[in-house]
Amino acid sequence: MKNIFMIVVATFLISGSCEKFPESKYTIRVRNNSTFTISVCAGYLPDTLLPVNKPILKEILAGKFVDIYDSEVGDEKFQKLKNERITVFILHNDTVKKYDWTTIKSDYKILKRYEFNDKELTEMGGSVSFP
Amino acid sequence: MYTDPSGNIFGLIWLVNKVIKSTDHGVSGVKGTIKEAQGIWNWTFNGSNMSKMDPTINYKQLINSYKIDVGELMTAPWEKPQAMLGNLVSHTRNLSGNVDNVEIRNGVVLVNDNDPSSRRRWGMTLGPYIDSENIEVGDDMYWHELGHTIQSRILGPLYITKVGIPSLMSATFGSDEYHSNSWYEVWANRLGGVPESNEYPRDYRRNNFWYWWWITTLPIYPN
Repeated sequence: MKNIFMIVVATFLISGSCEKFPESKYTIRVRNNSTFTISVCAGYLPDTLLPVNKPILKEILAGKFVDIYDSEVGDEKFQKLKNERITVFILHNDTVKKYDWTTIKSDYKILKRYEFNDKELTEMGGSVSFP
Repeated sequence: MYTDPSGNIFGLIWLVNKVIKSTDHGVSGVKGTIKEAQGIWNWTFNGSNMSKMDPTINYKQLINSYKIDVGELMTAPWEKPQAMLGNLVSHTRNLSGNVDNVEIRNGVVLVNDNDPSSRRRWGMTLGPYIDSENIEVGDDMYWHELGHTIQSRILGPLYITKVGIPSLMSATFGSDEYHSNSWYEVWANRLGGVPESNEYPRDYRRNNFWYWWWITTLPIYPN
């Protein structure tokens, strides 16, 4: 009985260091420390402009946070982030509701733009905090 | 539920318990406890005044270990097997320096390690214990794991064969998509109230009689 118990414990402890187990997700966390609701989008972009097509915009209430998943930026486990820089755009939620994407893009109606790689994100504490 | 955010009340209960137990070891036991108690007091009320604390005691680890044991009080009798395992795993991680914060919220104990250099967030639930890395109260994975703690309370010892082992199998051998859509993961999303997304689906893979028949009758069904 004691041996079985030890095997089960060892299995759980060893599996904790395994990449596949347990339940794991890869994300970049964006925190909204402002007093209003914001929208956020992210992607690997060639320049500082907003993407042509409307991206997935995630709403973040004041004082809350959201996660941008690796699948949402097409970078499994954020492997590309080690060598490339990802861009995160912060937009006012009212702007997103009021204007269509073409206007937002042409007038560059953003609140802030972050650009970083994996190392820089670690130096930022592992998450993006707005403002 | 009262969560004791400052840790004062739970700390006091710990001290009383510790003093009673220390009498088993005579005068030296009591002296040792008084020394620890002074440290806990200073940690709680004079956090910055480290000069009054015993440098040989790791107070963060000590308080974490106490909070982990509070989980035992939140355990239903029928979920003891997985709760004991969860307690053991949590203590082992804590003692090996792999735990930064322990939070008691929503009737569960989050035993978490923070690693800003890692984009990976993982969680594993055994009884009321959520052992995790880079999870915080309120994120999607926290609610998902909370769903697993509810499963544990519903299923009791069956949690190990109906959820624990199948989940381990599908996470290890299946694709992420396969694992996420397994019935026990979708059920956890629903119980925990995770907002629906591609990462946390809320629709079962199948919804016919035979699917539920095999789930119910087969001891282990990782699908």
